[in-house]
Amino acid sequence: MGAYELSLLTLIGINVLLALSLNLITGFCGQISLGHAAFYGVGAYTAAMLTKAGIGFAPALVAGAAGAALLGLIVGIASLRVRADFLAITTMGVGFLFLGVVRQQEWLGGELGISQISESGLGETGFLLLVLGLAAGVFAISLYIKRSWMGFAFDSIADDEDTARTVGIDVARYKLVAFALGTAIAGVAGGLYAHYARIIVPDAFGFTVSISILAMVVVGGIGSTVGVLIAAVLLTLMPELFRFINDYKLLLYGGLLLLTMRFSPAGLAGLARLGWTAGRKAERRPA
Amino acid sequence: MSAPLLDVRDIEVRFDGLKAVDGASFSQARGTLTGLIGPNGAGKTTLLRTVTGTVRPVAGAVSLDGRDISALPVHRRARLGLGMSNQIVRPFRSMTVLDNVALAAGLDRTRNPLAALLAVGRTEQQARARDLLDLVGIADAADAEPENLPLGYLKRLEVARALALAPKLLLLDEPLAGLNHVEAGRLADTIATINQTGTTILLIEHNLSEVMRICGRLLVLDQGRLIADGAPREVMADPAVRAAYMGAEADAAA
Repeated sequence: MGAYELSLLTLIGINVLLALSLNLITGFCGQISLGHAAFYGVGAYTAAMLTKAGIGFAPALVAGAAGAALLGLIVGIASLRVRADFLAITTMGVGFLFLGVVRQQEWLGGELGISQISESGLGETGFLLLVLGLAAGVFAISLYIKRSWMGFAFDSIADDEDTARTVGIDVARYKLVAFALGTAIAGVAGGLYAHYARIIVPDAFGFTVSISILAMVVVGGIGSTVGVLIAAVLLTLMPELFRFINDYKLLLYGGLLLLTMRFSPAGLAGLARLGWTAGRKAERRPA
Repeated sequence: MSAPLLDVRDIEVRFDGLKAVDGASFSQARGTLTGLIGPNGAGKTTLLRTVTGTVRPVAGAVSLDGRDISALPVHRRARLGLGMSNQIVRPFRSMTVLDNVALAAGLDRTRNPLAALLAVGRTEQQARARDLLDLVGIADAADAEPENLPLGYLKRLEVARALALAPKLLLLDEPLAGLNHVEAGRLADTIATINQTGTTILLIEHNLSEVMRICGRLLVLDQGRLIADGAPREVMADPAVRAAYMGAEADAAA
C-alpha cells in the first residue's frame, strides 16, 4: 500500500469514528448537536499538548477522550432543559465558543495552532491499524447498544421524552450517558487526528467540520449504524477521489444534506429499506 | 382500616394566575375503582397530572402508599407504582405497538443506564406485552406501527402500556373516548376486571353510563373544586352535581 492510500484509509477511519460518535447522541438519543467538532478539538488539543510534554501516546489519547467527555457532560447538563431547536443553537454556540477561546490562547498556539506534534510511535501502518481497530470497535459497540435495553430506552427518548418519563425512564441520566459516550469517542478521534496530521489549527475544528460530521449522520440515516458508516466512508472518499469536488466540498455536503432531508429523511438506510420492501413485493407478485 | 393507597391533600394548581385546581383533597383505598368526573375544563386531567408529577402544584401534597411523593420526578413516581394512560394518545412512533408495551414491561431493565446496557433480549417482556395487548383487545395490531392505527387502538395501547408497569395505582384519562359503543362497553368491562384482579384505579371519563356501571365511588370536580364524593347514585342525585353537570350539558346543547 502506498503512502497516499495509508493516509486516506486513516482519514476514513477517523471520520467513521467521528460520525459514529455523533450518531450515538443525535441518532440514538435524538439530541441534535451542531457543535460536535468542539469535542473533536478538545481531544486533539489535549492529546497533542500531552505528547509534546513527553507523555505517552496511549495515555494522551485517553486523556483527550476524558477531556472531551468532561466538556460533553458539562454541555449535556446545561442542555438538559433545552430541546430540539434550542439544543441545536446551544451546541452551535459551544462550537463557536471553543474556537473563540482556542484562537486567543498563546499557550495553545493561537491562530497558528500546534505543529511538530510527536509521532505516535506505531509507524504509519501500525497507526492505521489502530484507527481501523478503534473504528471497528465503536461500530460493534454501536450495534450492541442498539440491541440492548439502553438502545431501547434511547429510542423512547428520541421519540417523546415526556412519555418516556411516564414509563419510568430517567431521561436526564440516559441523555448524559449518550453525551459522555459520544463526546469521549469524538475526543479519541481528535487525539488520533492530531497524531495523524501532526499539526492542528483551530479551523480544523470549526463549524463547517461540525456540519460535515452531521452530514455523514444524516446522509447515512439518523440512528442507522451501518448507514452512517457507509456515508462516512463515501463522504470522505468523494472529495479525495475527485479532486475537483474537493474545491466544492461544502457545496457537496450541503447539497447532500438538503437532498436527503427533502427526498429520503431516513437517509441511505431508509433508501435501502425501501428498496428491500419493493424487491420483496416484486418477488411476491405472481408472474 | 389500613392507610389509603393514594392521598391527595389541598392541591392547588395555577396556569397564568388562573386556578385550574383549587384546594382539592381526597384519598383512595387500596383495591377500589373510583371515577373522577366533571364538566370540561373542571381540572380533572390537571389534578391527575399532579399525581403523576407532570404538573407541579403551587401548593399541596401527594402520598402514595404512605410515602410523600410530592418532590419526586415523574420517572421515580412511575417506578413507585403509578401508571397513567393519556387522554391524548402519545405512542412511541418509532416502535411497534408490541415494543411500546414491552419497554414499559422492562421497568427493571431500564432502571439505570448501566443495567440497561448490560441487558439484551426482550422476549420475556414481549410475551407479557402480548398478554396485555390481548387483555385490552388489540393483540392483532401487535406488530403494527402506531402511525397506521385508528384512535380506538391507540387509546387501548395507552392502557396496555400503563398496565405493563404493573402499577399499584392506575390512572386512566378518558380511555373510552373515541371508541364506539361496543368497544367502550368491552374496555369498561376490562377495566373492571383489571380492578378485580387487584389494581387500584382512578378513572376520568365522560361516558357516564359506563362510569356508573363500573365505579364504586365517584368524585366530582367543578371549576377546580371537589364538589361531591360518594356512591355513584347518591352523587348523581346531588343537586350541586346536577347543577354543574346540567349547566354544562345545557351549554353544550345550546
